[in-house]
Amino acid sequence: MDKTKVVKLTAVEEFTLGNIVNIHETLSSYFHKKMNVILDFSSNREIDTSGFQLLLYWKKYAAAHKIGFRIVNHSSALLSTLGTFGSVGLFGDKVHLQPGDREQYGLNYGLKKEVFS
Amino acid sequence: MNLDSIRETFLVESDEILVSIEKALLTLEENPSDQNEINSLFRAVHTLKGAAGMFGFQKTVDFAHHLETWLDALRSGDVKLDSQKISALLHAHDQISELVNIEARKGENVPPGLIQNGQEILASLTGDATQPERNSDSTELEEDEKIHGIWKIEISLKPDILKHGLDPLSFIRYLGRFGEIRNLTVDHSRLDLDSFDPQLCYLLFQIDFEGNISKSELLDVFDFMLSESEIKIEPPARIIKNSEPETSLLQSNTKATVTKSTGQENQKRFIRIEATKLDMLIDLVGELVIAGATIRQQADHHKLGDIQESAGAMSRLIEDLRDNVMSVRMVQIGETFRKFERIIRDASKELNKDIQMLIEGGDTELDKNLIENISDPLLHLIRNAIDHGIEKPEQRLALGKDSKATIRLNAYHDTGSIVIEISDDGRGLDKEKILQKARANQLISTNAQLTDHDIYQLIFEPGLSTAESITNISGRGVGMDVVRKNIENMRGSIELETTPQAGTTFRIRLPLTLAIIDGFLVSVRSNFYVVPLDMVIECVELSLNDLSGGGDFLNLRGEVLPFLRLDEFFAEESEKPEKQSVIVVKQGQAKAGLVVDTLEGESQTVIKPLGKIFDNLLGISGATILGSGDVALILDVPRLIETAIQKKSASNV
Amino acid sequence: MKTILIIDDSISIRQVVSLTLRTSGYNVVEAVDGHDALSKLASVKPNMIICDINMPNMDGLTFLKTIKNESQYAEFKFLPIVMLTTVAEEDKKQEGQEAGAKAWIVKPFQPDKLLSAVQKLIL
Repeated sequence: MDKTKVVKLTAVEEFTLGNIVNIHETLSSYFHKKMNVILDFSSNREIDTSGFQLLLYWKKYAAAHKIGFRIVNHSSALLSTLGTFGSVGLFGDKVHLQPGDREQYGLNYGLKKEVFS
Repeated sequence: MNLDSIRETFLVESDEILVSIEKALLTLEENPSDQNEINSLFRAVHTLKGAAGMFGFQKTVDFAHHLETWLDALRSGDVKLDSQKISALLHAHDQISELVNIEARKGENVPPGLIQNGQEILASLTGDATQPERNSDSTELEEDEKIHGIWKIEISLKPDILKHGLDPLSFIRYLGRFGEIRNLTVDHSRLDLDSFDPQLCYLLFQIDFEGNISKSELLDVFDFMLSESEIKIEPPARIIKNSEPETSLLQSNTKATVTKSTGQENQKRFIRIEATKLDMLIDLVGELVIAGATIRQQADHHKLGDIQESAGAMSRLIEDLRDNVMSVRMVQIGETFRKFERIIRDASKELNKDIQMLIEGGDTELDKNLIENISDPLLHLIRNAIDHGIEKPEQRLALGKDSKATIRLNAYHDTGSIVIEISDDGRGLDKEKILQKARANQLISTNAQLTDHDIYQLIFEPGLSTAESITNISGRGVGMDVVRKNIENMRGSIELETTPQAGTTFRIRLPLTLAIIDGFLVSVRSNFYVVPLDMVIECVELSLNDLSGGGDFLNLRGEVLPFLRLDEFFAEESEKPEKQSVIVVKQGQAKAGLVVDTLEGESQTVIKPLGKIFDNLLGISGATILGSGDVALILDVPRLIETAIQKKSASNV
Repeated sequence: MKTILIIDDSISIRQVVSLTLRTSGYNVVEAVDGHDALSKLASVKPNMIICDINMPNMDGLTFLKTIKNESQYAEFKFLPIVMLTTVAEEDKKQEGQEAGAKAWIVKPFQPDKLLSAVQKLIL
């Protein structure tokens, strides 16, 4: 990863269908410039299936183009969504789990790291 | 107003309707052509159907609907009433009552057996079950059948689903409320990097869902999504019913034979057996258990390796056989509970009291013989509650209570016992009155100092009835002592809790079954004793010194445990061995240690009742024959615990 | 807390819906018809809408089409919407589904069913 070309972005409060086109355009502008992206989810309050799918798309895209894409500071909304979809391992980001988080967010499956093919 | 109160409204209404149905039927029994009663019968069923529909009690609606159709034909004179039809209609009344009870009162799903029962009742009304209807019903049964296990659910979403305001995430979370999602795989293979519209959905999900649920309930979870996705549901793998090939064979026959075969099929599912035959079978299985143990012991004794192995295999089979046979005798207590419903209704009318009955744990199973024997004591306790416990509505209002009183029946399993609770929210027991009465009848001395608990226990003594006025319902002096005796005869116990002005709870504890128990074999000198295994907590080996310390209690890891020496209790005179063991037993909250010589290990025990002579033998509840041919006595653990505790408190003074 | 907008001209329906949802932890705002609802959208910002079909002033289908199609309501375009209908309104159901309302509840409904519908959509 080229350290010089890293951008840290902050995910909006509502990472949902209503905003998804805007979010997609913003992310595209960085990824298409081959920038490495760090996406901070600390102020996020809600993420729906469209938001999840968008993250999945860019994870897949980044892997295919050998670009870095990390998600940091998982909000509880994000943890809950990743937990339900069993995708913590699929995304592969480091998640700081407090004791009890596993139960609260239902992180009972999908924790094994997977690699995009 | 809340949801429960809305449901409550329905329950009250349906109770009234059921009463009016019954009344109409009884009138029609006298005069089958009374058109007024036929009309009111029709209207009652129709109203009930409508109300149940508003609340979504679907099985009640289904049954009422078919019944209504037949009653409509009766109304227009297409069919006639005879005594057979009347009794079928009475069954239909009971069926509705049961359906309402399950769907509305308990909020549970209707078991397939009950639905089948409804179909039989309708068939006996119409005289024939038409083929097409049966077909659709049977597939419905299939869809509605709850299966516990891992369901495989595959969801393929249509691209536009998100735009329509449907978020699959939310549906999957909702699914999680019905069981546990064991695994979920997101298939993103359709997520193409070159053509992606973030508002469209490209995902597929494969879900392993574990729960006790039916296919139709699962479809219901996803119902709004059905038009926006393809959902495949694969039920858990299970054994295919062996009756199926026959059914398909019969279906190819003519209609007449099919109707007949329906009857045969029902007979296959439920067989009526004479109770004595069942008892004999259980007796034989009991003997077989002993014979099996003998063979095993002989094989062990003679060190016959091959035979030991076969004997072990046989023992396991016999155990399975035993469990199966015992389960045949297990009956749900709900039926018995519900019998009291009408009694409560009638009695409360007679006494001008307003009482509702709540049932919990109606599906708790217990031995058929126990059920038969427990019915009378329960009835007595309920009558007592209605008569003495519960105040008149005016009195209740004056005390700031709800004018409607509640009697709650509850059954559940607890450490190898069945517990049945009868609680009321009435005035509670009157301590002073009990004391006065007990003194008057010279049950206690005038200056005896008793704890509250001891005072309340007095009501189980012969000849103590606290009611001031004797009514139709209870209070004739044959009382709680008979109740206690009946329960003790079943190796059970009864205790009570009462709070002045807040109510009384009677708690009956019964063994799971009467005939066979898993026991723990111990010996004291040359005699064998059996302790029911489910009452054993642990065994501790102790040298003579540990026990000879002081008093009649020992220190078990900091806990003070009263104990009882069985050798002294049963007056064994030969010398004590060097080492003895303590076996810690428990009944409800009470614990005690029993000091024995040797722990012999677990053994299955068939209880043989002792003869009449032994009726008053304290501490023994039965006998059994061991594999070796020796006789072992079964210890009456509750009594022994009581004795140990009493001894301890006596020595404390 | 999620906010749900209930649009119905019948006060008793609105009350049953409000009671059911409030006791389950949702915030509920009531509107008496489509016009009333449109005027409240911007300030209420609901997470979900429950809407009757047959109402005076602006009926449910007109309301549905308005928020799905008019740019001034773009923010609410993808909200989950539950339509309340009676059996007699089958033809309208067809029309409503084509306009993008996929969740339908037939009146008379039981409160439990409404609650489970809401939970399926915004849990």
